[in-house]
Amino acid sequence: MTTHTHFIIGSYAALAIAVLLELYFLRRQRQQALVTALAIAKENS
Amino acid sequence: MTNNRFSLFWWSSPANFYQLAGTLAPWFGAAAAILATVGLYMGFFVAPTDAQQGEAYRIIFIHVPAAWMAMITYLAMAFWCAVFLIWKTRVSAMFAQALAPTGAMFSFVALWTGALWGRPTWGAYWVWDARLTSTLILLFLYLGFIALRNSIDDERKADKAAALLAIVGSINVPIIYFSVKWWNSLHQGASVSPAMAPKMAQTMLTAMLIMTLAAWCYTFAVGLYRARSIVIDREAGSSWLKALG
Repeated sequence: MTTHTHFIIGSYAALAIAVLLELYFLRRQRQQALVTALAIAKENS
Repeated sequence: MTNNRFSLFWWSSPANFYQLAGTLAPWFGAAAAILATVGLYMGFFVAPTDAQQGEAYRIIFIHVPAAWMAMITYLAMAFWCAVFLIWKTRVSAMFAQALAPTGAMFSFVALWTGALWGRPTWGAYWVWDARLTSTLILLFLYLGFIALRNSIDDERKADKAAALLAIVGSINVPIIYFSVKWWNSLHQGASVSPAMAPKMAQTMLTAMLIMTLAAWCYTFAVGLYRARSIVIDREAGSSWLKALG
């Protein structure tokens, strides 16, 4: 049964990588949105 | 619009939604982290080894919640797209847009973990089976939604086109769900259904349901957080956003 360990590790590692990537892009999207909003606010003021 | 806080239309204002999402997202995030910790502990240290599949079955604790969330998130996305088309509420389109990447991520995780579970149990990573193929189509629908949304510069036209794709594509969700009944499938039938007793040990079921709740909370947290970024991006220059500083 222990021969299946790599399938389990592969599954949980994929989930961890997917979640971390999503959180990274989420943070980046927020920073870009804030930069855009600030630039527009400066332009309008 | 209305001033009643208990009305959905009150929350359809970007300013009100932005504040609500900011209040709710951290709570859902914290709940997701706690539930995932409890679910993983139960899945690995409390749930027994399966008599037929050995330890390989422990992939179930992410495969099933991911597959369920991929389907439910698509339906939620299509629902908010329909709300946008009917009532022209921009926030609905923004929230649908925010849900798509998370749905795509869960579809990918469901397919990937399914492949890694299929190899030791079926002897194959992939077969062109109705359940697997329709789930792959779900992933393509998510990617198509994101690509279509981003390929049109006019926000309103982009929202409309993507909404239509989401609504038409929702026909795929019942096909995924019932595929194991409608066609001869290598994929096993439902182990959990409201219409019958569960076909697994109580601790396995509990761990799986806790992980499903964690996936729900994660989707809400990430969806609301992303929706806030979309609101900032699309409402940039509006007076209410300036007032927030």
